[in-house]
Amino acid sequence: MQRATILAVGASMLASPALAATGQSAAAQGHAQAVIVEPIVAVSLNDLDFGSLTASRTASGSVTVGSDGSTIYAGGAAPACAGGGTCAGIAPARFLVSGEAERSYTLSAPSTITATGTLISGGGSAPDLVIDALSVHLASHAGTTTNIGQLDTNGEDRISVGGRLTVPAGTAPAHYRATLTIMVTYS
Amino acid sequence: MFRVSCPAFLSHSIRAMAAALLGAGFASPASAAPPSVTVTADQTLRFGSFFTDTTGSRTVSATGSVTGSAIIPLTGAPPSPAQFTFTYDRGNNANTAYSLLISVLVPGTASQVSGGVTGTIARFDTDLPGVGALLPGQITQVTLIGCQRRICSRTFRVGGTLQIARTSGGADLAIPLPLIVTVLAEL
Repeated sequence: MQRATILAVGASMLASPALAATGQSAAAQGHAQAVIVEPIVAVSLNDLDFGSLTASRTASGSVTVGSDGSTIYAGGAAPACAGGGTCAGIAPARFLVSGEAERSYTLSAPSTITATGTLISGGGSAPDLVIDALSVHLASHAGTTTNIGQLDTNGEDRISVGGRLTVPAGTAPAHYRATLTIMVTYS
Repeated sequence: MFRVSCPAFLSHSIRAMAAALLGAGFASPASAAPPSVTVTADQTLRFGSFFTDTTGSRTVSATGSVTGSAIIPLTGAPPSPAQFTFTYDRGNNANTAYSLLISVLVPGTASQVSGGVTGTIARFDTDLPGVGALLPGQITQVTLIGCQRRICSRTFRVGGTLQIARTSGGADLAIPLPLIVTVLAEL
């Protein structure tokens, strides 16, 4: 009888470290981090406008509107404005880019687009014209040619796009329109 | 009231054994420290950089896989799960295998409002054995097997799903992520 009692006491003491472990708690303060960036958006302010021009019956020509607004006529193309000067309204395309302040972004633009025309006489379709040599100017990188822009402290930048419209000889009078799509993404 | 009598030599033998057992039982706690638990936050749960229009979410799992909904990820530091280390000191050097039944608790929903951006982590996951989701405010029990020495340590990772609601601007979110671990039993 005494032996049984004593063995039971011994067993309970050997088990005591396990019981002492229960209920022990510890806490750690971790963190989760994320950077949520304001979406970047490009809004068209005005179109790339080549103005009104005439085309030679025998020689092809072109008109180039620079991203700075300069205009150059070549070959059989000439301005169709009173006095032969530069026509009003000729301008590069302009876009306003807005997003997270001081973030850089990458601009993607096509190198060539196609203008579709509607004949002034009769209203039918005119042969397509090609607009190429698209040139891009970013206000954040004045004086340099790059497709990497930088938003200012207000989260804005401005883009100008020029191009060259080639006019084949004998092009019939028509109204032409093209769509210029640019894409801006954070770098 | 009763008395058990026994021969003198047997009585002495039992007393000696009792003394040895009692001595062993009391000697163990006296020579060892009480059990203790610590948890350390080793790495932050990083959701990386991304932007979303109005609402979106990004999930970084405990294994490091990354998925998103209605977001556009940006380059930068790669997303990664949080890492914690749990350490149990049983307080004695007994060389016996044991397991630990522990509970893991994320006390509440982790969220932060910064300007027009609200970030909420409503669901976590971990690579602790046998555990899928860790829901804020709900205790999850885990059995850690294979402990052998005085110190039993486990490093585990915690991932989560960050839900973003954005009305304006961006934000650098740093959301507290407390974790409480309790040892329920040494098995």
